[in-house]
Parts: sequence; C-alpha cells; structure tokens
Amino acid sequence: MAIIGQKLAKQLKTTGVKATVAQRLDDGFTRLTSGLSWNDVRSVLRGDPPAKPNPRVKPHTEGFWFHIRPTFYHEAVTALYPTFRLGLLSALFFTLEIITGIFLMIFYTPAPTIAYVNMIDILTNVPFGKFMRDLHRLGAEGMVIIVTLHMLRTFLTGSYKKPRQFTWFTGVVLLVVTLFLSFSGYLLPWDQLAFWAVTIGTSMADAVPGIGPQINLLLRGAPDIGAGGLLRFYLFHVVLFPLIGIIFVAVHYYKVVRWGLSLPPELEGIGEDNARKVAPDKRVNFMPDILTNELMYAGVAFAIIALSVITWYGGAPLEHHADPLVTPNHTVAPWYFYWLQGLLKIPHMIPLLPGGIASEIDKFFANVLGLTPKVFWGVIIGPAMIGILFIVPYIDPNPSRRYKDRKVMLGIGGIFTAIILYLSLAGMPTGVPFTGFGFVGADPAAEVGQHFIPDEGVGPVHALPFHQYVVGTHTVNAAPNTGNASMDGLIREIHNDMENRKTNADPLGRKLSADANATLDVHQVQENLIRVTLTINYTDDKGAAAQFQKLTYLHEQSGYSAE
Amino acid sequence: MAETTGPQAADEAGKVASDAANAAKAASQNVQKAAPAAKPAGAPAAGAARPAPAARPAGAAPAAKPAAKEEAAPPASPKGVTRREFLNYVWGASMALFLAQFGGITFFFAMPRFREGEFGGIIRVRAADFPQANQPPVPNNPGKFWLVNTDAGINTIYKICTHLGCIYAWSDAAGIFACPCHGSQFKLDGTYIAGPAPRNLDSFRFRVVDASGNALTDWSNGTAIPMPSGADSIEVNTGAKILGKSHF
Repeated sequence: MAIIGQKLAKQLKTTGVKATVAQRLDDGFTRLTSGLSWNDVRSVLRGDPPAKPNPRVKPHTEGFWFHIRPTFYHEAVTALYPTFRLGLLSALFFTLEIITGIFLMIFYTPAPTIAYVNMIDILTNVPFGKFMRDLHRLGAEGMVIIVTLHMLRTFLTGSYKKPRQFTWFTGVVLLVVTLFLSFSGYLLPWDQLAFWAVTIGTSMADAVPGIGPQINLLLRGAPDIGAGGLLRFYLFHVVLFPLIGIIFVAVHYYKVVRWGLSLPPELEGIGEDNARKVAPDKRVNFMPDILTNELMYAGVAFAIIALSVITWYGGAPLEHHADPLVTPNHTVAPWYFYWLQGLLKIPHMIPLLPGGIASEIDKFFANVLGLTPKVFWGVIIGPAMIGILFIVPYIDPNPSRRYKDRKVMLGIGGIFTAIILYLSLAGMPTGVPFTGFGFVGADPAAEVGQHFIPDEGVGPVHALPFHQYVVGTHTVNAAPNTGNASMDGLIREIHNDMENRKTNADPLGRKLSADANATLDVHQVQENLIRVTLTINYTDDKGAAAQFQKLTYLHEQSGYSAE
Repeated sequence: MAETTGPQAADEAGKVASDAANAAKAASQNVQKAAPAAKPAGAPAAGAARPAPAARPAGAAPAAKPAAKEEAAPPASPKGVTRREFLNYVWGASMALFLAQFGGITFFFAMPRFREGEFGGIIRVRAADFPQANQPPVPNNPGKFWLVNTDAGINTIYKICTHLGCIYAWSDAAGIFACPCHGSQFKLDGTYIAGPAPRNLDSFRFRVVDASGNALTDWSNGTAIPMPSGADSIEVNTGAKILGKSHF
C-alpha cells in the first residue's frame, strides 16, 4: 500500500493531477480490452491502418473473447460467398435462444399442474411475454434451418476435407444438439402438441432392442409421460443440451481459429490448404473490418427476427391442455422431424413389394433376426442417416475440393437431400402427392370436420369473425342465402369441399357418399358466445345412414380472426 | 553370477535327462524352477544400472541437476514398462473404475421409482355397459381401455396403439380403429389390418362376476370370452396387460 502511495505521489509530483488520472484510467481501460489503449480503440473506430507492431493482435492472444476468433481472414472469404456467414448466424441464434430462454424460465415452472397456466400467463399477462416466447420459438426453428444450411454449405464447398474433418464432426454433434434442444423444448408448454410429439419420440426410444424400455423410463421418469417426464425434459432443455452445445461450440470455434476458414475451392491447388498461409496483402484483419461487419450482421439478423415476430409470424402455437386420453387428428412431429415420421410410416422391411411377399419377408426378419419394420426404419435407419454425416470426411477419398472433381459426392449429397425431402412429405398427414404414401386420415366426413373445425389450431370456422355469423340452422349448398356474404362464403367452401370428397377418393380409396348433405348450425349461447355445429349426414360403407357432428364455441373476443 | 544361474541349471538338467524321452519337457520345467531364484538376485543388479533415488546426494542442488537430466533423457530401452508408467496405468484404471461405478450409480439414481403394477388395479365395469355384439365400442377412460363386444365375446382392449403409443380412435364410418399418428388400423376385436403397427392391440385380463361377487369365468388370457348368463359386472386388471399377437 505504501509503495503504491509512493508511486502515485511521485507521478502526481512529476506529471500533475490531470495527466495522472488520465493515464490511470487508460491503464484500466487497457486491462479491460486485454491490451488496447483508448487511442488504439479510437484508431480502430476511425479505420486507421494498424501501427507496427499491430497492437490489435493483443486481444486475440491475451483476451478470452477474441482468442476464439482468428486474427485475420483471407480476403476471399470475407464476401458473402463462400460462407454466407451461416456459422456466425448459428452462434448468434444460439445466443438469442439463451437470452430469451432465461427470460421465459423466470415465469415457468416445470410441473403438469401449472406449466400450461404459466404459458397462458406468459402470453397474456407478462409484459413482452408473447414477444419473448415467439422469439424463442422462431429462433429455435430458424436455428435448425441455419445450422442445416451451414452444414449443406460446408458439404458443397468441400470444407470438411483435410484438415477440417474433426471440425465437421463437432459440427454434426452441434446439429444433433440443435435438434434435441428444439425437441426437448417441445414438451414444456404441456399442450396436446407437446404431449403427443414427445410420447411418439420416447416410444421410439422404447423400441430400441434390449435397452429400449430402460431408456424410455429414464426419459419419461415413469411408464407414461407425466410430472417426472416434464421435469426431466425441462432439465435436458435448460441444462444438459445447452451444456453439451456450449462445450462443442468452443471446440468448433477453436478448430476454426486453428485451421482458418477454408478458401473458395478454386483458389487452392488440389489437396492444398492455404487458409493460414495468407500473403500480407490478401489479409483482412479481424479488428476492425471483420468485427464491425459481424456486429452489423448480428444487428440485421436480430432486427429481421424481431420484425418477423411482430409482422408475419402468427405466434408460437399453444394447443389445448395435454390430454393423455385423446390424440388429436393429424398429430405430427415438428417439421424438422417429418422425415423421421415418414420413415416410421413404412409398414414393411422392404417397401414397394407386393403385400404378400413383403409380409413374408417381414416374418423372416422378425422371426430370424428379431427385427421389425418399426425398429429397422425408426431406430436403425433414422439415426443412421444422421450417423452417416459424422463419417463423411473420413470416408470421402477424394482430396479435391473443386466442384467439377466431386460429381459423385455432390450427387450422393443431392440424393440424400431428395430422400430427406421425400420422407418429410411422407411424414405429413397428407402424405406424398400422387402416390399417397404416408397418408393418415379419418373417414371423409370426419376429414371435412377436421378441415373446417380442426381438433387443434385454427380452421376456417374459427377464422370467420364472430360478427359475421348469422344465428340459425343453415343448409350447406351451392347457393346459400344467410344474409351475410362472409357466412355464405364459408358455407360455399364447405359445400365445395364435400363435393370434392364425393368425386375424388382419398389415397385409401374412400369417398364421401353421393347423398351426403350437411347443415351448419349457429346457436347463441350467451350474448357474446356462439356455438357452431357442423352436421354431416351420409351413407357409410355398409350402406347404413350415418351422421358426423363436430362443434366449436366462438367468443366475441376469441381473437382467432383479425376482426 | 546370478544371471547365469538359469541357463546353467537348464544345462545341467539337460545333461542329466539327456537319455530320457521327455528331455525337453524336463528342461523347461527346470528353467521355470530356476527362474524365481534368479529374480531376487537380478533385481539389485538392474537397480544398480540407474542411480537409486536414495543414493542421490540429498540437499545438494548442483549435484541433483545431472540426475534430473538423466531422467529427462529418452529411456535407453523403450521395451519395458517402468514402475512409474505401470503405476500410472493402475491409477488410470482405478479412476476408470470409479467413473464406471459413478455412471452405474447415476443410472440407478435417475431411474424412476415405482412398484410393479402401481399404475394398474382392478377396475369394475357393469356388464350392461358393454355394447351389443359388433356395435361401436365403449371407452373406459379411468382404465384406458375399450369395452368391445364381437361375435366371439367380450374383451377389454388397451387404448394405446401398439406402434408408438398414440391413442387410436374408433371410426364409425369404417367400423375400425384408426390411429391418427401413423395410420395403423385395427378391427373391432383388435386384430391388425394395416399400417406400421407390429402387432394386434393389447388387452387387459378380465373376469366376469355375478351380483354377489362370485367369479363366473377365469381371468381372460387376451382372447374374447362369451358373456355368461347372470353376469353382473366385469373386473378388469389393468396391471396385467397381454400383448397382442405379432403379425410377423
């Protein structure tokens, strides 16, 4: 203490109070920036060329935050091509998810009795609660897209090749973490969507031969999803997967610093890697050029996603409270797992064979190898399609990164992408167009009901504003006359849909009987509450008269439509 | 010296047993006997090749330096395992064992605790609640099963699809059970029709009792039982699920 005091006194005596304070402040500032004085930072902000030796390298060598970024890039990778900044964007979205996630955690309790109430509270009562939730949801889906595009880009430019094989490997780990993060978050709102998506997911784990039932119990915390399962998925979502993600982001970033960003393929000789051997005149220093560019990029990305949430994004869905006794019609996995749902719909070990032969082959596999189509397609082939990505750099023998030398690998990648897209189509309830593979539908009358009054979500009946409804029983025909044009429009729509189902069979060959007719009944329950009932009379497969009825309640302030 | 004891003993044994048919065998046995005797004698000799730690002049820094230098130099013969290397392997193995034990404990710790049959129980249903033969089934929500009645008799069928755990629905129009998730279809009696489900629908054991509680039938084994006369109610054991027959 005394020594510091002596030094200070000496400095005050020689340079004066003002200069001493300024110099001490600058010392502190330099410590914060890991080596840049205020004048250095100003010269960065002014865009001055760096002094020699370049003081701006210091934060990269001495500070934590900059040591995970390269000190310079080759000028060829600073344009949008070849990176499209997708790696940076993935990290930005991960950050966005952490920030919005912490906000949501404050208002959320992972217990079945209260979770759904918390969601309603976040949506209606918490200032900016809906905004945060929508950001979190859109950010999560955006992250899946961006991480996938990042991987696709890395594949297309051959950047996974030597010496970046392990960087690719950690990237695939991050893709899996992203998918698991997204999926584990699905259960938390404790609505129907959540409950059934996760029931199907954990049932898949259950199908793993041998250890499946144990994995299922570990995931669900009980034989069925309940309080234990919700708590476990919450902990996976907020602790385990983010932790794994952060660790692998660190490894991934370190590898980028170590090997640099791969140059556009045409700039290098075959088998060469010059990303770290950049001539001084081709270098673009991280500070300030890349840094300011990235900050701008981050600002634009966040602005776009925030504006998206406010404008076109209708909001993250919240369905009815989880009901273990009812699986809603058209239950689907999250869209990024459609491909897996498509795989799970394949009924035979070898599809596309005549039914009898396919069944015999199934019997052989089931009895001799103990392998059923569910286990084969869902538990073996599904994960293997991700697993194959891990080893791509280790099995690709071609040293060239140039597009024209990689026709085989690019072709395989294209086929792989096409298979994923095809399976995704099959995963949807509508199935694949023309072939009808993957179609899951109730009988035609129930499908009319599902279309206009879906079990979950908003259908045309909800979308028609409250005040457009005319109380009374209306016959569904081609020329309705209810006295309200919008209401007439809805009835015509129902009529057209029914006529369509009378003439065109669904992929299972079912048609609505030609004599089918319907009524739409609007009943005033209370002053500001109506009940809309769709009744369809038809003839069933056995020739007997049958009736299908579906109803929904609409409140003046339900808020389904933008009235 | 001590090192030569082994070969010498073998030579001697070889001479003694030279006529015997099992000469080689005897020699090898003698070598094995002689080897342990050689070891204690050999150990100090091997130790003497390197300066023993105790032999280092303690406290004298300049004298300790050359010793350290000698240790840092690459070992002359990389064939053998040094004591240090061996102990590091032992140490590593013990840590691996600890981690394995810790993993095992974590597994048991994370396993949910419940007793077998905790989620089941005997649920009583009135016989009159069953539908007429081949009529649409009647749900029982507390027990998660359907009451079905076919030509073969009555049955209690678990409401969960045998594919991936969704609740399938009854389709009146087609007269089948259809799953909304992946499109599996089943007949009224639970028999598989189409889709990715691997087996028929599961059912619960049940028995029919009369008004005074006497059992009129044995516990069912998954197949339908004709409704006996005088039936008052049906006891359904939701702790005893019978898996449907695989169609493979």
